Amino acid sequence: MVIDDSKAIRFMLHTILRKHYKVTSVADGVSAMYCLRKNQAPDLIIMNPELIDFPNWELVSYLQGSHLYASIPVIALSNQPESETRANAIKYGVVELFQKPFNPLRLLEAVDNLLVGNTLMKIY
Amino acid sequence: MQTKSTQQTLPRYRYVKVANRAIPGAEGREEAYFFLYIGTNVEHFDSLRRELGNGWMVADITEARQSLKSLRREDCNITAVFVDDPSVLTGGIFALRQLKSNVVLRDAAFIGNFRGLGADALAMLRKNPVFDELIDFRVETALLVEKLDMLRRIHLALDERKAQVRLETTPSQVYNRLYLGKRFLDIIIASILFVVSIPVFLLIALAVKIESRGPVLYNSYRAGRGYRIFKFYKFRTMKVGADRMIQSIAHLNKYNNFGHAPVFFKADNDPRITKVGQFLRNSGLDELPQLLNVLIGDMSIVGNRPLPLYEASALTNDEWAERFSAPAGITGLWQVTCRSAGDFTTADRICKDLDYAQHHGFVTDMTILIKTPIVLIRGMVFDKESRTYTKPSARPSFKPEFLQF
Repeated sequence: MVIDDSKAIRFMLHTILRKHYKVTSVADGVSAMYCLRKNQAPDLIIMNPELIDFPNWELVSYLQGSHLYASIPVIALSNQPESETRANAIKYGVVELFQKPFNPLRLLEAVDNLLVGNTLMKIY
Repeated sequence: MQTKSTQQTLPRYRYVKVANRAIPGAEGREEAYFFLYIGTNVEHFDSLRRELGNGWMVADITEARQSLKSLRREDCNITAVFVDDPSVLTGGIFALRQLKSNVVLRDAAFIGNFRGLGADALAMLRKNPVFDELIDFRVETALLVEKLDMLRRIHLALDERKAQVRLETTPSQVYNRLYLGKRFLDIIIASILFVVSIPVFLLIALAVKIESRGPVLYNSYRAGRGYRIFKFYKFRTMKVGADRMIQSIAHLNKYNNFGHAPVFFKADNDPRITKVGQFLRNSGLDELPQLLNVLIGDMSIVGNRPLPLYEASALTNDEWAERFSAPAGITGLWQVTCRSAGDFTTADRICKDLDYAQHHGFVTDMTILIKTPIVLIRGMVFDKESRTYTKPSARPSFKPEFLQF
């Protein structure tokens, strides 16, 4: 699952990941929660930790603190400089941290590494 | 084990409100977290009560259903339902769903006991979302208020904005444009141009081959629409291995980024370019093989320039990524508008790309298409007059920008 308020970023991630993965993208935290509650849990979440409706890593913190969702790995894709996000990334245990502008190929690599051997092979 | 009294709906425990806490979304009304506990562990119930104020305790789902009537009568606003019974957790999902749909519990967060759940049960609960949260009833009640606040916030937001929720499962759901007409025109125009230019193709191929060793076509990976990566064809205008020289001539870069990593790379007097290459670049003829890319479907005739990966990856932030939402093209808005001499900046260029991405359509495309040969010929005429294509040092900096990579 991709959560980012930028339409262009979501489009880009769709295009990059669609070859091997099933991607669902949403623009905000509420849509993400709707998706998580209605559907089967995704194998991976790529998200902007600063969302409009859940700023300041709130949703990451919630997901990682929940027994329902903590098992889903999170890749953070942040607008903020690394110096400001590194601490949060460690605190909330995200598996990878990317700063925009990011290299989409590096992200794809990270996703491939994370989901290798996963039978479902699906991000949503 | 439960003794049902004559008033069978009466729960066995009831606590009077002790601490009042404002509930988010309750508009300042002082309300306690009133909860329903389904289970038989008094210790768990007590620790929840200490944390949240007051609640009801019922032994199982049947009893819970019965108690709902009296809860409704008393107009209780139940914030949370705690389910402690593992058999309910795994077996009674259907019954629990039914309970959840009851109007009294519409706003309640359903929380299950995490402790004692086997891996199978856990996997099943993750697959069939019925609980809003799982916590360990023995140790995790301390942060419960924050958690309930968050759940309540999500619940209220979902209630309010459910109609606006959009899940996009394909790229076209993000940007809903098909470009069928554009593709159709591309194929027609590219086919005609390709057939017409076959003699030129052969001549150039021969010239490139004669001047320096190596293949006629040069292909590099470029990022097109949505950062789709494809092989981008050009006539080779540089010596073989030129890409590896880029670090050593970084000081020639015209795009001054004030010490930052370069986004675009472009230099006058680039030492890697061959003589035939210089002519091809000045005339724009090195771009001819991109007609193949158009026919393959990698790119369009008009669009944003597909960028080499090292440049493209510097533009993937919120502000600039939109340039990738438009089709990639041989010629584009930037190429036909930014003709002024002097120092163009990366920002100018991206602005034009963004402008195109936001406003492109049939008319824009046609205008750009018509302007393109004009701009090209102007650049060539100038080069011919000053005969500068063999002496790049004298070349004016407003030569056609088709030649930049």
